[in-house]
Amino acid sequence: MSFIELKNIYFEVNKRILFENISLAINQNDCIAFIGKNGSGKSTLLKLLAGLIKPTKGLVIQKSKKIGYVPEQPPKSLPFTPIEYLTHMGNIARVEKGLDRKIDTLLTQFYMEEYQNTNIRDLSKGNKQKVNIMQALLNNPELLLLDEPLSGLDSKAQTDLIGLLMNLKKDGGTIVFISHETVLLEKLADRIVHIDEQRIKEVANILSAVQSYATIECIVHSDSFPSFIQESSSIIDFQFHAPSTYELKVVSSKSDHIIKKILDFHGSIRFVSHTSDQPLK
Amino acid sequence: MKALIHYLLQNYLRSYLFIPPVTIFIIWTVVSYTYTPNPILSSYAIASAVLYFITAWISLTLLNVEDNVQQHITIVHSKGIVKIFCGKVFSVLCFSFVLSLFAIIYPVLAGAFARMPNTFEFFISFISLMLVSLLSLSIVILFHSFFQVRTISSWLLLSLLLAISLAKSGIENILPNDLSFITWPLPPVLVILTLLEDDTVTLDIHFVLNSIYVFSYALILLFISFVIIRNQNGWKFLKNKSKTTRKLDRR
Repeated sequence: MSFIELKNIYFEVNKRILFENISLAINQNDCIAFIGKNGSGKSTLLKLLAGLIKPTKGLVIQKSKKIGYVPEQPPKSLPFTPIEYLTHMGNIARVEKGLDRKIDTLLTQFYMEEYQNTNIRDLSKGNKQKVNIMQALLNNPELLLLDEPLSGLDSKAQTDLIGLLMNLKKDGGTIVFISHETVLLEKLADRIVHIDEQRIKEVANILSAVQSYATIECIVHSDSFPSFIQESSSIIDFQFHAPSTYELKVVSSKSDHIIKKILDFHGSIRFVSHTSDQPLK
Repeated sequence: MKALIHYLLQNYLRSYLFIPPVTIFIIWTVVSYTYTPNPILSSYAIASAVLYFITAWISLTLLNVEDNVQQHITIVHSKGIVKIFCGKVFSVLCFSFVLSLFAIIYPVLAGAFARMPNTFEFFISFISLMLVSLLSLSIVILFHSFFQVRTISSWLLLSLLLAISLAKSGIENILPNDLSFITWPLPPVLVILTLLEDDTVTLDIHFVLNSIYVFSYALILLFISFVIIRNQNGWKFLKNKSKTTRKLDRR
């Protein structure tokens, strides 16, 4: 019997169908990555697993008693220091024994000792993200759900987090995460689930998941270009660097088509890279 | 539950959102008892009417003290919406308890009454203040479960609803007899206030039944709100199921 199972999930929000008849079985000790373009429903699927939202139709069967959830963005305006916040969350989660010791351990693992009495509002983005992750690890979760956990972390912190997650996996934990970071996909994920066009598909291997993208940097002055980016299913992600300067992450096989579209918008191409396992920074 | 209430209250206190409603209530109480002497139960009735609005204000701000992201984290740690719901209700009632005590004790300490209220008067006044607070809280939670009140227009609509409930008897007088039933579903806050207006009120069956009516009305609103919120959320606390399995059923 699976640890978590999604059966025939149909999810609709504001008359937009996000998932249509998807099923997924997650076994204990699995480590699954959700990938997909912006707006495909990755975060929504994670929230379904966390029990935060209901599917419009379908069944979610979950056996985990202890869940850790790391949202994509850390909470705003928390009037607590990290130690106060973690103490509150630990008490609410009824962390049975040694909460203080657990908090001290986490603060040490994340190099947050010097900030433990600083108000969270005054922390940098990366340190807020560390607190965001620490609260999910308080109760030694059986199921850990992470939405872009490496976002905002420096490279040392990223390495440390990956090590921590690998240890959690070794100890029998089940991890489901969303990430575009190749390093996390390569080192952690046993299975990769690609979410696209209201369906999910398991990708055979990490190489086929991450090496199918190209990065295109271009300058386009047209006002309708942002709409084209939003509507195009070939564009996985984009960043806006300066007025009219875009960095697009596209499906590798569609890169020629996208380049042609950029030229149709009277844009110019600055840079194309098919070393497509480099995530956008 | 204790940990959750502690967290919610500390979060709310540190947000300073409680300052405007509490300050207004304190100032109003001090000013209203400036001229002495005051009738005992009637003045507590007016305090109840003011506390009705103040509790609504506190309820709204406390319900929204966490942003959406933190709400999700708290729900996951609490393992469901039941605890969150009860925690927020009790947190607001903590404030109501303190403000009710202040409303009862201040005029006595300030010598605002011609005589010292007796135990019975203290008792029914405190019960009335708490009932009115509970009623206000239940209305706000029901409103919030429908509208997720964060905008000014939602605030105005809620204020209108509260004001209409206070004007219930006036509306009944204006309406033709055949249509007076329209006001029945309105919150019965006037039931309590009208009882206190009579300084000869006693702890009789009339008072007890009316108190039970108001309490039951508030509980029904809370129950309806709970069902709505629970159905919006993914967690269903199925106590009759295996402890190791939670199902999120289709609707």
